[in-house]
Amino acid sequence: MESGVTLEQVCELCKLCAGIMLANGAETYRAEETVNKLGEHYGLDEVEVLAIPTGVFLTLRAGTEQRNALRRITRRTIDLEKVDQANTISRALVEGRMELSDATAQLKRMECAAAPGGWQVPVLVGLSGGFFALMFGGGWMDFLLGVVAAGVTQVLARVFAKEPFSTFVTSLAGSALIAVIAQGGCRLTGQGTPGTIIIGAIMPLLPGLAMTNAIRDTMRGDLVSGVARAAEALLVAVALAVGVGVVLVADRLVWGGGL
Amino acid sequence: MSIAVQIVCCFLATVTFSVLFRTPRKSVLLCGGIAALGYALYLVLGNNLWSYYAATLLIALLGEVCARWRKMPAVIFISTAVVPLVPGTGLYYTMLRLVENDYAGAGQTGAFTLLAMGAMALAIATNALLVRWFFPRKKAKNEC
Repeated sequence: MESGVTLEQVCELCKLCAGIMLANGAETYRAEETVNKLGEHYGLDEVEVLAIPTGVFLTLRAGTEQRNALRRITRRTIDLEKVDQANTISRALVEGRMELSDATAQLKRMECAAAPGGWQVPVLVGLSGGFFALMFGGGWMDFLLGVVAAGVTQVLARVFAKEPFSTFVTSLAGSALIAVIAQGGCRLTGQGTPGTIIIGAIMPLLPGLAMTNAIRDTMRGDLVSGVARAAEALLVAVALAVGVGVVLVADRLVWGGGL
Repeated sequence: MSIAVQIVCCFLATVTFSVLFRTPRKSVLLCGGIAALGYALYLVLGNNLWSYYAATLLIALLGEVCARWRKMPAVIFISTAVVPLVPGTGLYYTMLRLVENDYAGAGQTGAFTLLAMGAMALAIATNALLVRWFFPRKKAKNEC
């Protein structure tokens, strides 16, 4: 055990660092590896860590002193900026370029920091929906409606962000809204292809990362993480499909299809 | 629509989309570039499982290179750049066929979509394996 550092402090640091990584979209093995590296750096005799998407368990031992800790993760988002910062901090600690107390303070501040709001997210994600529509072979009308649909969905996501079940509700309502805008816009203007617009605008909502991570975690032998991520990804994918499907069925009933 | 336009759109889409993942600013253009290269490979190889595998592997390897170059976690590059490749088209057409009561078609499209996701995951796993081979991790002292 390094002098001038208590086990309590190391435990707090590991808990914060792994918690931030898991809650913001890092792989589970990265969170575990970070704790292992930190434990090794501070000369602990035993480091056991189990990270799953919904929480992280730690057992740290130095000599005869032992600490167990559990951090529950209830809200999972993707915030790669925070993953990068937590990674930079742990790297600086291991290389001896940073004091433990500074690191803990920084991580604490980071954990409480809310994602910045403002107009950027809806506008930029809206644009990406338009570009995706173009990428799938759409025309200028598809681009415009894609921008509107993807942008409005992000505003909706902002409204629901604080509610329980926010991921599910956002996916369901968001994809339904996208389908309404795409079908309605094409019917009103008589131009564009709804399919291309829907696919383009739905791209930002797809759980591609979760699905890929799920299969990868399972392959690595992290079975609990794999199943948990797969369940999350499947839930979102089904919500997206049902949202679009409901609107398509309604459209067929009212106008008898076509388009 | 020509391939060049699609690739440029892929780059722009990834760059604008990155705000949702809060990808660090200094890596956004790199992510866009990686995504465009990966999507270009996918377009060249056509719509089959191998093209999903090859394109994702290219993205993952480039992400790994950039991660070492910029000293950032590889997940930042890979997770942002892989987004345009996620088979959203497959999900949509599966749903469309279901709505049209075309269950055979829905099964076919759905199975292909799932397999495409599997191919992408396999590529990510291959990348992890290659990284372990070429950059072996030093053993922790309590490891046997």
